[in-house]
Amino acid sequence: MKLTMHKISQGEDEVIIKYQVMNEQVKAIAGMVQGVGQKICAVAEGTTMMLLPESILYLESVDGVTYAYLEDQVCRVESSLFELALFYGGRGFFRCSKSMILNLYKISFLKSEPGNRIRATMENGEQVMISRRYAKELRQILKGGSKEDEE
Amino acid sequence: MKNKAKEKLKRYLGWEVAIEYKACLYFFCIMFFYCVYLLCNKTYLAHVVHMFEMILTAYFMGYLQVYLFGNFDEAENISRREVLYGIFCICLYGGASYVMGWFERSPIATLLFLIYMALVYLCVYLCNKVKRMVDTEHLNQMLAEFKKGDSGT
Repeated sequence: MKLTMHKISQGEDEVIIKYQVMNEQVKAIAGMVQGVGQKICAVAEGTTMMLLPESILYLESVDGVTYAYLEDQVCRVESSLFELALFYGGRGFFRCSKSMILNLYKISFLKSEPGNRIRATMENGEQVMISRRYAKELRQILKGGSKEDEE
Repeated sequence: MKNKAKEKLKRYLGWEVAIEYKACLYFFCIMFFYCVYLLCNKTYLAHVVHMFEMILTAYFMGYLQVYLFGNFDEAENISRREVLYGIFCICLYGGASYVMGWFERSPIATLLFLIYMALVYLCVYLCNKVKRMVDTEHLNQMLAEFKKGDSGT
């Protein structure tokens, strides 16, 4: 399949799919663009729901259970932190400690702390301390490189 | 298990680098004062033994600062604890200078050295604070660019 990409300076980001036959590959690409199949299954107050990764502020693992923290809600997520970091790493999800993943798009402020650590203030006002080890990775991501690039 | 050991080694090396940096920084500051003192006394030769003692003292103080005093010269804010640690270190430097005779055990020179070291600690603290402020600004700029999607990926 031929891939053509154009960088635009104005207007909304847009994906145009040209196809002859609607096959599984085209369906998968369309689904990915629409965010279908990329939602996270979560449970809150006994109700199962599908969360858009973009709505999550951060994910935390407590006693082996993963929780997703939204603006005004906390949900239990079935997937492990490892899986979530793997699947959604490209969508701004960053592993900031062994037990936590931050949504970089939901950080409102970063503060440089002594010992090369970084304090992240989330959109809901919660603060997360990122250790020196993970702070280095965060800087790399923000600069535009990934962990893999470094290795 | 191997990763844990690697992490520990990395952390240890990180602290050692911090101590190295501190030792060099404070040694340079002490050397400056020592040279000024010698010049004021119209002496144009410095004792290598004194310089050796200075660097050893600076290393010892670096270890104290990093492992026992919570790196107080890089603290976010100055509280009573940081002031106490600072006074303790300044007194140790003053004591070392007096015992080892860096300034010929002159009480005035030792007193001036104590005041100078207090200023050095204050300057180092302020420099670290300014460095973090600049870094904070840079981090938020990178975050804004990342959110806009201009991070170069």
